[in-house]
Amino acid sequence: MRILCMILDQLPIEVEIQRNPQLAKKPLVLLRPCNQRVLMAAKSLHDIGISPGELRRNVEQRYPNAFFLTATESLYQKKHTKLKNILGRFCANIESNALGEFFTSTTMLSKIFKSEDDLSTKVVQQIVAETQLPVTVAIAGNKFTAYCASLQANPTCIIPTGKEADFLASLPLTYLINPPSELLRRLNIFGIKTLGEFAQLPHGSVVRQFGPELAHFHDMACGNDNRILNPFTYPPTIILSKTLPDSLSNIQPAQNILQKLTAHLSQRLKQSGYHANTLTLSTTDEEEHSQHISASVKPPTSADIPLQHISSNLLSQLTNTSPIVKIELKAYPLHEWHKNTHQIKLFEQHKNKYSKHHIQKTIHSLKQRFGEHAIQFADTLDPPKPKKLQVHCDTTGTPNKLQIRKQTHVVKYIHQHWRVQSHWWGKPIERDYYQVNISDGRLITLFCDHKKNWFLDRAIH
Amino acid sequence: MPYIELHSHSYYSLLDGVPTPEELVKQAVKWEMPAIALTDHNGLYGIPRFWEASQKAGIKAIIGCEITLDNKCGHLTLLAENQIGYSNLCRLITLSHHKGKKGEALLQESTLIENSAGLIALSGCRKSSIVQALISRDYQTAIHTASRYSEIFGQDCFFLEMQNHHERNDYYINEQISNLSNKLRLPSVATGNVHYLTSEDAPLHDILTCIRYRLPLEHAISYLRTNHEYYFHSPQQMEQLFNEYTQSTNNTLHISERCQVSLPFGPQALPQIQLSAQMSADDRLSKLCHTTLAQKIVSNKNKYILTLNHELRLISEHNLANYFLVVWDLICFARRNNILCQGRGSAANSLVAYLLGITPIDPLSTGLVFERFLSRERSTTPDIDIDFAADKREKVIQYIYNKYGPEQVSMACTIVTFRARSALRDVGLALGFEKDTLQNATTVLDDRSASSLPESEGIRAIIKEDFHSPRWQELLRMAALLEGFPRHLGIHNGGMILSKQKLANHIPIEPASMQERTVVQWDKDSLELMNWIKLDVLGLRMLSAISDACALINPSPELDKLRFDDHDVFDMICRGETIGIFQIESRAQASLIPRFKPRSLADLTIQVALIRPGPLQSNMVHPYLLRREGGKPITYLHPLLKPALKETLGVILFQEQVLKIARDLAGFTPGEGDLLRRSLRHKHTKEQLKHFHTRFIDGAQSRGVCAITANQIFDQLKSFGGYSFSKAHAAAFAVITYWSAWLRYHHPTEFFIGVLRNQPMGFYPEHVVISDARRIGIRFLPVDLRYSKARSTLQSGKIRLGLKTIRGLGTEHINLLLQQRKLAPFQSLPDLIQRMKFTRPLMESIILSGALDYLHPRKHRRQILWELTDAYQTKPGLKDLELTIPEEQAALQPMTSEEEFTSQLHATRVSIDHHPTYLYRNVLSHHKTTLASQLHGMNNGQKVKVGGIVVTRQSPPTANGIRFLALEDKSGLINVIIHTNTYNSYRIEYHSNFVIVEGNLQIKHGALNLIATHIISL
Repeated sequence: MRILCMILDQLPIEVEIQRNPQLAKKPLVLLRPCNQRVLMAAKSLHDIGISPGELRRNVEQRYPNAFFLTATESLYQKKHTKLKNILGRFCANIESNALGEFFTSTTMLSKIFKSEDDLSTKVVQQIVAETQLPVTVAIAGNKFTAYCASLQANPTCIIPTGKEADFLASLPLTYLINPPSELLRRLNIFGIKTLGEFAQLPHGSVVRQFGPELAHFHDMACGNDNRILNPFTYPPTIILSKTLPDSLSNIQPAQNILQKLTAHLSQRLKQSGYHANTLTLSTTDEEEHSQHISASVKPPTSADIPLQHISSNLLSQLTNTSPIVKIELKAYPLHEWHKNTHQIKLFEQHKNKYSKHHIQKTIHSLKQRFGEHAIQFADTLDPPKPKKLQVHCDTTGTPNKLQIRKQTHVVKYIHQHWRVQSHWWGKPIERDYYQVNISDGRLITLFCDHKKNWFLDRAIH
Repeated sequence: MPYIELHSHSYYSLLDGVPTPEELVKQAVKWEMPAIALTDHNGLYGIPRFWEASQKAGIKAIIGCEITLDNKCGHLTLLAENQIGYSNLCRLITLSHHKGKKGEALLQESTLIENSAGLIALSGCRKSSIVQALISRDYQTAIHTASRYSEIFGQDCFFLEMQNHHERNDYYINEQISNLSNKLRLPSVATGNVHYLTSEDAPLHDILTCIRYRLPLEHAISYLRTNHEYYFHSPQQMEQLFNEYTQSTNNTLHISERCQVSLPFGPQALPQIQLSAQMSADDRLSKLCHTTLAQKIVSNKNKYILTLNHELRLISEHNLANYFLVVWDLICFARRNNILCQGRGSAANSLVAYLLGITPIDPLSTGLVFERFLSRERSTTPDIDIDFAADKREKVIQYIYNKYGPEQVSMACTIVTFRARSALRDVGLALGFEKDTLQNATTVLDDRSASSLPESEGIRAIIKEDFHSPRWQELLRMAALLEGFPRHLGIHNGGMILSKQKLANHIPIEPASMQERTVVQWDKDSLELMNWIKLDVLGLRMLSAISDACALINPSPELDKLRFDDHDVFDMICRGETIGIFQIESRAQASLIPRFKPRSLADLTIQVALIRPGPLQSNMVHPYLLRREGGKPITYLHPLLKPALKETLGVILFQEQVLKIARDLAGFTPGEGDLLRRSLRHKHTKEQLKHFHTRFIDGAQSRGVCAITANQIFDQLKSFGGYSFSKAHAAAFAVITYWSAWLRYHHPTEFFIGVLRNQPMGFYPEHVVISDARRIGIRFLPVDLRYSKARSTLQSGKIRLGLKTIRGLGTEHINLLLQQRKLAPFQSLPDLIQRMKFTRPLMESIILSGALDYLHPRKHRRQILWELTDAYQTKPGLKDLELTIPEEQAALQPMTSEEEFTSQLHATRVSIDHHPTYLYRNVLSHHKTTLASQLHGMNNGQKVKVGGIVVTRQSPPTANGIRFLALEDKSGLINVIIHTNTYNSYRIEYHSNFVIVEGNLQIKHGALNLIATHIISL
């Protein structure tokens, strides 16, 4: 199978330059609107160490000439979709894992186009004609080579079958896709700087050195990548585990290890731009008994401290009778701000026809089809708003009459009065609550806010 | 309205209280309360300050504590009714801490039974078991618990506590407590459970809660109090809140009247040294001193005997003879065990201390004043501080514990408080700031005080316009409020408390983080307030270094017999070759030496005392140096000053001189002179100072000194303050300075081994010490797993680096390694791994340090690193590399010399081949930098560029914002002076590790500095 990879490197930057041509060649930095951290930096800055997630302040200090712009993420998404749609006219199944990055198979296209050169040129021409964006297209025997080639293409590049390793040899190790830092660290101390040098290491030796789970990086460096096209992408599950050199019967060292795992997890989430929605902790003891425990993360987050808190609580709830030999922490992440997730309206057309049972059944089927964590329930972000109330108070400010639905009720008995003062650091809440019995026998909870407005919190018959 | 607050928390509730003890007392006075109780969580940390403030304010201090019970029994408020109750309270707190982890107190309910006498118990807050049972509508449990406490404390000593903070269920709880009170015939009492003075302080309390749970506010909602009602209510407010339960507020008065406790003021009775029958401690001390005097003193005996008798009389009057004997016993133990030790501080003013061998300084021949240590007028007890070789200090401490018993001995605690850095970081995290942002901000702080944060120029420069944003302003304001707030408990450097009786009867004790160590809940200031004697057992690494060096020299030199007159040693000091020498190696001292040129022990004593905030702030350094150089005539403001100031050429340098001036000029007794000195130091005692000022001026005038001159002299004394050495202290230090200099000159290899063995020590990091040693021709051998011991050793006249040099290799690892090596040498990589079970990063460090090169002489380090994985997988019994299939061996390129140097430097932090600037040699050459050694041939004012590794950064408070860098290149050290404007432009570069500095050379009085104009970070 031959793979076509189309890349618009630095799509957000290119889009911004297209909108505002005088930005071209400027050291542009796009900032996330929510936290003023770097979303993307122009290549010139990226090459000298400005990476996504950095603080604007840091960039300013290091590179005072940097030009900052607040990112318009929806626009980039729109352009990305447009590019995908154009490519979609050439072929049906397109895999896309990041903005401006597309993979597709050329298998069915060989009959339509004269050659791979012809195909890649036509794709580029079409894209440029419709979007004026400088995409690059490469075709190679596998995804990794095609990806690397498209980064090098001008604007097209074809890697003949069997020539993958030769092409990759001179590229630096940074071309590897999300390699573990430990792999890069060790390769660095072994003095290996390029994919070619990595490829020269005997495969068996690499497997022994780094373990079979990292062997595919070596395969890639050798020009072999057997990953298939995967047109659908779900939020990934991040699993981190630690096999302990000595078994632990005491919780404190286990907590310390878990703390490190959680910190690493938080880092991974931040790097990938996801928020954890659920955490699952598994421990295996000396007798190979495993225990699992999960907790939902509300609100979903990638921040270290709340994740530490939850994972630590999970560990304290587990009751291992034998010493622990392995700890595993799994996060089911959501896209940041639920970005790229889809809300499916399943039963809007015939609301009354479907019962709770139907909904549960459908969700069960969906989960079976797409996986347990691909389907998430949306939370309501705000609780129902309290209703405004007409209240009459005595001289001390205590309610003695109130009006509900135009009916006046006398306060018979005050059960409780309490005060809430919180969130002074954001939107302050200052309320005086009263739980009262009114003349019709209902137990009412009402409150008065700092502006002396009264609200009905709840009523119980 | 009668009401007394019986439940209040100060900031000594460690992150659960806002007011200081003094503020609580002040507020109680404002509310016209005749008494107030302090009930911090599980401790009496704040009681001494609380007691003193109450005494000053004229109200009764009720001593209490809110104790946490084990098995989810919640909180219980305990108040000491009498002295027995106070002792029981101390014991209960001690027991509670010994049950829980460090910093966590949990008291088993059963222990209450044995220690309940003299205590009044209040049932506690919402976290008490009774209230918790009532909230869960478990009335039976509430009855059962209340009955049990009533049995434990007695019907009239157990009160049901009522609180009303407008929290949900408060109405219900108080109603149920009232029912319980009627049913069980138990009295109730209203309390405010004060956590802050006013509701405006509630946000700060929330922040403290977040810091306690290490959570940002958003995630800490469930831990925060629901409202801002935990403030100090007035009696009128309490009347309104408890208008249905008036008896409960009246009962606060009854309880207050019953509580009659005084604190255990010192000096405490110390453990008795074994004495023969019918011999008192005074007699024993006198006999000891007189015997030694007869042997040690050859001339002027009568003068010495008179002084000794005077001292012994004062010691006896202060009941301190036993204290001296305890210290003498300790010194004897150290001498018996070859532990180098020496008294420091004001104790060296005492002839008794000299005769007992506590200090090496003869106070009479040195012109010291005993009253600086002890006087009739002094109300507080003095401490004796003794320095021991740091590596042997633990042995001394264990000796004290074993000799007097663990229940009679404990360490003083230190209350670690918030400063600028910790306050900014912790408050920032609580307010949801990113760690990186805070990290950046904390690196540029100009001042250590948190209260300076809202005006911090460093933060303003780094966050620019954000500085004025409400979010940052909130952070800076909140962080500033935390200045001085206790954060957690630490262990004092060496302050030990000894008592004849069990300590836990007087002060609560809790375990320290170090095993088998305990700390009392009072820090050194509180102990001083309570007049308790402490013994400072301090560790001095330089004594260890000297001791180590002497042990390597054959025959070992007798330092006690050195005569302090070796010209070669003083020549070396005058040449500025002082790295490693005690007290005179610093950048400031190095600048001083070319002008000062010390030639005697007396000079060294002055030199040690000269670079201190006192002389610097009172601008006495330059006048002294000018007079010494003959550039300015030696004059005195009045001839009467001459006897006191003659030795320091008319300039005040020593604390003892304050006593002498007060004596000669104004007729003070030496004791009064010392009180004057103390009041100059404690600037808050303004009234006392005013009193002394009047006495000083009157006294001086009566001796014919005009008022203007007297005032001038008094002003000089004031600006001199107390931030300087006592001469006794400086003289004791000067002895160590001379010893270390003598060793450096006569036995440099052994000296540097001693210094390296005891790192970190002194002013410079290890790599600077090595570079300096190499510059004077000392040869080094690399760390080697076959030969290296834990610390550096002498091998064929060279220094073999120790295993401790390898990054990550801790003491336990090294002990195990040496033990295994003794059994059999390490044959191969798998052999080492199987026997040592080191982690991979540690093994990598060992390989990269070069310590394993001998195992594989024909392989380069990368190959060994590659084989590490196989070695981990090799089964025991198989030889190295047997499992490696030949065709699968990876062909790796050997490291270049630069790579090898970098990795070795990373693995060991030191280099014995090249200087770290070797890595930047091309850049330095590109910038055409000048070497440190070449600067000496250049002219004043010449523009020059230097480059090197930053060795130290300093911004002394006495330097008016000027900063100093010590830079080192392969040829030596360079002092860089950075003025405020330059610093403001190069803040980030200033904090880099490798820099190039461009500037103008300043050559003044032989001292060479570079005034920076530009800094480039490498």
